[in-house]
Amino acid sequence: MPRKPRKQQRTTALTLSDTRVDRAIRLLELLSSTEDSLVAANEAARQLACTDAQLDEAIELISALADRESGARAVIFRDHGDIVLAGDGAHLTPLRLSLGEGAVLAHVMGSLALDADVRDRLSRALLPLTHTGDDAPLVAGSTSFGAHYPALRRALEDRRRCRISYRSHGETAPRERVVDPLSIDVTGDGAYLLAQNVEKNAPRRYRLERISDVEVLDEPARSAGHAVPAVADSLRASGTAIELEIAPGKPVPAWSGIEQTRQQPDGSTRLTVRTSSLPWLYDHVLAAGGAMRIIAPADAREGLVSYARNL
Amino acid sequence: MADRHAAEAYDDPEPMPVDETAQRLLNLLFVLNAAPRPLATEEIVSDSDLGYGSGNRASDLRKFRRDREKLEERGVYIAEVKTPGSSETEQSAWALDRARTFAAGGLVREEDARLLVAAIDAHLAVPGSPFEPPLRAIRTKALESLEAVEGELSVEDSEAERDNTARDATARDAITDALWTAFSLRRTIKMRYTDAAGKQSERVIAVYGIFSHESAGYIAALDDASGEVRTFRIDRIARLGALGRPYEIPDGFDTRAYLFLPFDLADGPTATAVFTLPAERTEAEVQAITYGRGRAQREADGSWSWTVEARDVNAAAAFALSHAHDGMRPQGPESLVDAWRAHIERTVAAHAS
Repeated sequence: MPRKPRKQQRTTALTLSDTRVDRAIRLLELLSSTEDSLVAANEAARQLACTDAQLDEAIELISALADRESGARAVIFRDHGDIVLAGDGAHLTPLRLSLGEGAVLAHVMGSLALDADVRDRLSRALLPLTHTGDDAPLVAGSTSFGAHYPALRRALEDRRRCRISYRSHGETAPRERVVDPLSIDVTGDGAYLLAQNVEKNAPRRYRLERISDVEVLDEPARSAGHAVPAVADSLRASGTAIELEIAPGKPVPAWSGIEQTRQQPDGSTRLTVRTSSLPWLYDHVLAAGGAMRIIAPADAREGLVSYARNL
Repeated sequence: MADRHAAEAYDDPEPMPVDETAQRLLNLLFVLNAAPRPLATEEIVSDSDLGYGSGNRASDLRKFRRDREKLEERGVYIAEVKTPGSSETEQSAWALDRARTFAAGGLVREEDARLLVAAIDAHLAVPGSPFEPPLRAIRTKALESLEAVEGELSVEDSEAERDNTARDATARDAITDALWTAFSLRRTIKMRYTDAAGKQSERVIAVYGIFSHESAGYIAALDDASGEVRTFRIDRIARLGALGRPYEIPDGFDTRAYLFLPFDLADGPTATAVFTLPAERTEAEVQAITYGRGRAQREADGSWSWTVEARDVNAAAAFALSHAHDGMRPQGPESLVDAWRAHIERTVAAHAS
């Protein structure tokens, strides 16, 4: 007896009809938003995250729309590689965001410290009307973008030099630096301003939440196009090499500066790690509570003991 | 001959069956969007071109009600319009609630849209973020609502954004999409989940919040198996079922409370831990360390005090030591301060030989 075909695994919470309606509405919004009501088919497929066949399905649904009383009807067709919406009958103003999208927009606006008036304009234009500014966040993230993202973004767009107050690892208070911003980099570890430090004439990475002030100067950034090396490359070039031992069965860290990992016969692990901040490394050795030891150099071992006794 | 038939079959495929439900819903939106006046119930439910008019009025009325609910789930609101002075017995009329349905044009300025797009791109770059589907929709709508008002918009996709889009359009995670749908519609969803120990379970969940944390996506959801709000890692969800019943998220629910710290990962009772940080630390720095958990406040001398519940006192001491160079110190309870000292003593002893 032939085996019964296996039921296809459900990959969406919506019915097929729901998905088709969503896709057709999104296509109408997209076409209505362009100046000549025309969009390249591959661009539409990209925006709607769908296949060409699913685009055809949406076009067919839209082309059947008609209103007997007013005589209005939707005229939509493919023209070579484009999709065209003719006439005004089916033009659709963009819909407001859904509750889920609204929660994400509120999170983005809050985490990037956008000005209150910008938040207000965006909220009134896009958020669901049921959304109030007082709602507790339903969407959150642990990546910190600090308090000066909008100013840094403007400096990047206008290619302007900045004076920033920044506290690096091991410093107790922020110091001023003049920098030419190059880009903003987001990693699993945090968000960084990549910039050319004008005084040092060298590229640097600045963690956004450690930037306590930004002044955009009336001076052009002159370091456009400079590349900032990857963290591992930068540490390899200028970091201090430290030999560490991790006790058997204890977790081995996954830091960018790790150059070599060697398993020892007793089950322990030896690492060679490069760091630009000894206090940062000392903290991690202390947090391991004796399960991580500095083997060499001797002055780093002594430095750790002295640091620990002063805590 | 067989080849010719094959060619014919290829050139002239069987017409696709029409999705009558989808067609009816879109027609209803189209007709109400184009209508210069509200449409009477009778005009709608008797119109066979619209997909009603079956001859069974009660059935058509039910269908119309379900269609309104379906469109509402898609963000299209159809409102009953009462003419002032009309009697109770007069039949209803229906129109699109444009204020609730459509984005408000003319409010978003070009610089707002530019900043928002940059902000969204920054969030799209967060590794493992579960926010990609809504972020992409917001990005498009921000640009669309601006363009609808101002004509041509000069915000361009960055190369990184193009790359992301190309990659993500093909690899979009259907499970993440389905979770956002359930969350947006506030409808429960059945889930098959594999926990960290590899144990599989089936549950019905109500998603209260979604968050990204250390390169992974999580949901905070009311779980029917335990009756409690639990945290689930999205990449451990093996399968999702159809949408279930509607639910409401309790007032004041705050997803930030579920951004876990290393000292949350234990069973048993919690202790109220208090840490201090120097006055020089900015609010942004404190926020980055604490994830907004517990209560962080400035004391009279300007220093920070952070009070948070901790399940594992040793892990809380280790956490404080990993931020010692930021000036973080434990204040209490005594068991926390003892654990901090014990960590230091063991480390010093390990380096004595």
